[in-house]
Amino acid sequence: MLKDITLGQYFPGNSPLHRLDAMVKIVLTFVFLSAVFTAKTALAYAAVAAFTVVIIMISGVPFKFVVKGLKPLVAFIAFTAVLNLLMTSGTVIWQWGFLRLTYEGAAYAVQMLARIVLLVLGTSLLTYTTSPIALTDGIERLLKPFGKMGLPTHELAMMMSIALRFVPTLLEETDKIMKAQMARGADFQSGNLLKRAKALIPLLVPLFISAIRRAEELATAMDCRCYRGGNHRTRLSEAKVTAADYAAGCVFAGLMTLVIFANKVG
Amino acid sequence: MIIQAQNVSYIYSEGGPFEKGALKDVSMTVESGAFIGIIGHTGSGKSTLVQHFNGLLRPTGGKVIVCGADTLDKKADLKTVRAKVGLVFQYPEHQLFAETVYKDIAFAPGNMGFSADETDAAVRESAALVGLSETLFEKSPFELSGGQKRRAAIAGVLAMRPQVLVLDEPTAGLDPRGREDILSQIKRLHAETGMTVILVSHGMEDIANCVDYLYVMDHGTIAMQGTPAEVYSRYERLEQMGLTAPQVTRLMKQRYGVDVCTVEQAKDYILGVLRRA
Ligand SMILES: Nc1ncnc2c1ncn2[C@@H]1O[C@H](COP(=O)(O)OP(=O)(O)O)[C@@H](O)[C@H]1O
Ligand SMILES: [Mg+2]
Repeated sequence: MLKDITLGQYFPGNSPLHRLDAMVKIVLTFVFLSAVFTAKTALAYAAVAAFTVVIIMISGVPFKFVVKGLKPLVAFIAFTAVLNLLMTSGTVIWQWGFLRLTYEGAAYAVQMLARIVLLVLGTSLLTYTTSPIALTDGIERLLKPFGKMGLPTHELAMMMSIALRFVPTLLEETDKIMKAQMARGADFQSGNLLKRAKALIPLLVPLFISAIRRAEELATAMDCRCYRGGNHRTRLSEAKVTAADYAAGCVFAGLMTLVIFANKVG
Repeated sequence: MIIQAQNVSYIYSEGGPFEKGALKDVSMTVESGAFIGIIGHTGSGKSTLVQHFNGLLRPTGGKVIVCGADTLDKKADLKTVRAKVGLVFQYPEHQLFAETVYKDIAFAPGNMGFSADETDAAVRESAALVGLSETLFEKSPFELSGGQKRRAAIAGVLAMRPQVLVLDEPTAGLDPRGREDILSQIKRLHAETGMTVILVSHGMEDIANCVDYLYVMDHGTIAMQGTPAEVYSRYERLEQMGLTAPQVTRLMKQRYGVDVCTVEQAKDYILGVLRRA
């Protein structure tokens, strides 16, 4: 079922990772990304992988749940791996027509595979451990410097938090309409591409209508409560960067150093 | 019997972190031609149960047999099952999509492989059954009023000519007048066609005077069953489950100690008492 897609969901909890400040977590995610892209050698990848496993353990999000998040991307990952495997030039091991398998290709494919998996696992941990509200709040604070330059940071953050808020609602709605049309004999699974695309009309039309209706209702509700954008708004709870956040920063800086070092050694 | 549920359990997202048990050991039998009611407060599992009746959901425990086919059976033809058991979802007007009312009602018969003539006949017949005027056929379904939309959506399911019609809270969100209209239409449909009807509701007054047999659901189980009069007479138990018996039932029980469930029956009883006096 659609709702069983775990990627991007929030997994409520109270681990040290959940308690970190959202803005700090976003920055740390970028540090993690840089570490993945900096890694060149097997040793460096191993270091990042081990680190990923440890932070998943700390987060308290079950491994099964995290791994399930990779599922929607399996096709993409497989496609990239095969492409890299067959399209890289170098020492040929095996050749058939224009397809050839090379040592360099194999090495590169494995490297890309590791990279994508680590990227997805690491970054999805951000959404697993941060509620959508905290996340957009973090983005808003991170973008604040750009606000001085005229970027409507509050509005951007608000748009994002509304979008995130409605993802589960729309998935639920999709599921419901799909079932209602299946009860009328609609078939979403069989037939060729054209037939399948046509079969989506009875799903998409009601879905768009309900999304627009929801948007209008939400706009009215916000108007009624005198919402008027970012200026002069105050917060119920101000987020604060604490000692734990600095400590986490040091840990991630440590990871980066380790990767650079591992690149030199191995 | 046409539908049989045997010790059915259902768990949403089984094995996941958001696993949620919705049905526990539910058994019920629906005879052909019956008019059955299912009531229970919100979240008691009514919608989950009725989605088992046409194979949209398959039990995670126990089994459901519809017109002789076990829905868990890999070889079972679910499309046929869905044609035989027409399921009208809650707020069915949210599924309308076609350019015209006619095309929307013709969607299901088209999917079920009806010929053009059969489809046309089925569309007109089902529109008449729900009291939808043919002058609306060429309108967009989105131009209709709330009550008309709902009728069009119900007609869209009836057009498959199902043997069983399951309606999930067909009166939710309608005004008293619209509610009365839809219910009397359903009653007439049952009387005229002899179709098996299963009516789901969270209110009691609604279905007191239509159904022959009533199931009461609570926390995913069947808490009570019997004729409406039998069920309503135990209104203390109903109140514990967050349901209220019709006011006339309470009044008659307290005043005369009899079990009735409609104003009609109460009137007859009181007239009888007065005549004897
Ligand atoms: N798609 C779903 N995913 C997860 N849980 C669900 C889903 N649909 C219903 N539930 C849960 O199952 C229980 C029964 O729901 P439902 O059958 O809709 O009850 P009712 O129709 O009586 O209001 C509720 O607790 C509800 O939260
Ligand atoms: Mg329901």
